[in-house]
Amino acid sequence: MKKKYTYSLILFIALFATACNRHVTRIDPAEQKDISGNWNNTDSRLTAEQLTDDVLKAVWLSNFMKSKAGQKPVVICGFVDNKSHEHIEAETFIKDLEQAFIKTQKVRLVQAGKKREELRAERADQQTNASVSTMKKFGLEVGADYILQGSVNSIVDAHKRKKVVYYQVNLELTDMQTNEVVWIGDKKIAKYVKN
Amino acid sequence: MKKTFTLFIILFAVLGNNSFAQTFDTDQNPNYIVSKAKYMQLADSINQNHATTLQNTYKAYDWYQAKQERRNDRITFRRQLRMQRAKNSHQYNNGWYHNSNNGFYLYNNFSSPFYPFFRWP
Repeated sequence: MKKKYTYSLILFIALFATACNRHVTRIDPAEQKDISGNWNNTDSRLTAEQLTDDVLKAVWLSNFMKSKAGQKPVVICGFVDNKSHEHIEAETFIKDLEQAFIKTQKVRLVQAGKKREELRAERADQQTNASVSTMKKFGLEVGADYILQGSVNSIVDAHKRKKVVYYQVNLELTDMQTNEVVWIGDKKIAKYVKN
Repeated sequence: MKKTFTLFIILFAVLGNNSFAQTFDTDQNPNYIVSKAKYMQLADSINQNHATTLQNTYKAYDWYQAKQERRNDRITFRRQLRMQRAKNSHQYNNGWYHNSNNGFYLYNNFSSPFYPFFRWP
């Protein structure tokens, strides 16, 4: 009787201990896992895939190369305006797009924003600290031909426990000299969420 | 000698100016300098945020979420009320039923959730 009681106590402790533990498992980033219905990694990945495919196949690229005797266009990344109802960081899909530019070697990319500031600050430091033969000069940066800008919008239609969320991600390339928009790409995502 | 020196200075200035200045296009707006001066001032403050996401989010109405928020507000309010009552418990015990002000079992200031800080004069 006493033995039986001890076994059940051990079993109870073991069950209690395992129930309270937090379990973390690595999953494939390409795996679709929707938990709350909010914007997630799958949405970002799908957006990146579609926009990368669109931008590299669009006619603006061949038009530019024709007009510039085979030269590759230089692109700089501008703002992405998140006007949706959720906090969405566009860098997750913008970086995928930039990576595709570099990997395919079809488009040249120049640094922008705070990273560019950092580069200039480092160059300024070199003017006083680096040897003359290795010191990099000011005023020799590559000027961008196009700027990549974007926006994220959303529409929420909710009643009681049901909700339809629609996201529209737009990216556009604009000619830096003429302000002419040469490409607009979009990714539309609609989700039905039932709480 | 002086004349040659002056001519040399002028030539140097003209050549120098041409080499650094933006070349003027035939179709270019002659007032471009106005716009250029304006945006040269703004460039640093605007460009430092390049390659970032501007968060201009809005709050969408979600029935279920609103219900949860109302519930949380109610719980917080009740908790605060309990805390205040516990803090000022001596006042609540004083004259709950034998208050000279009402004399009946009516809604009074002592039991009102809207006057938790009521202090009897």
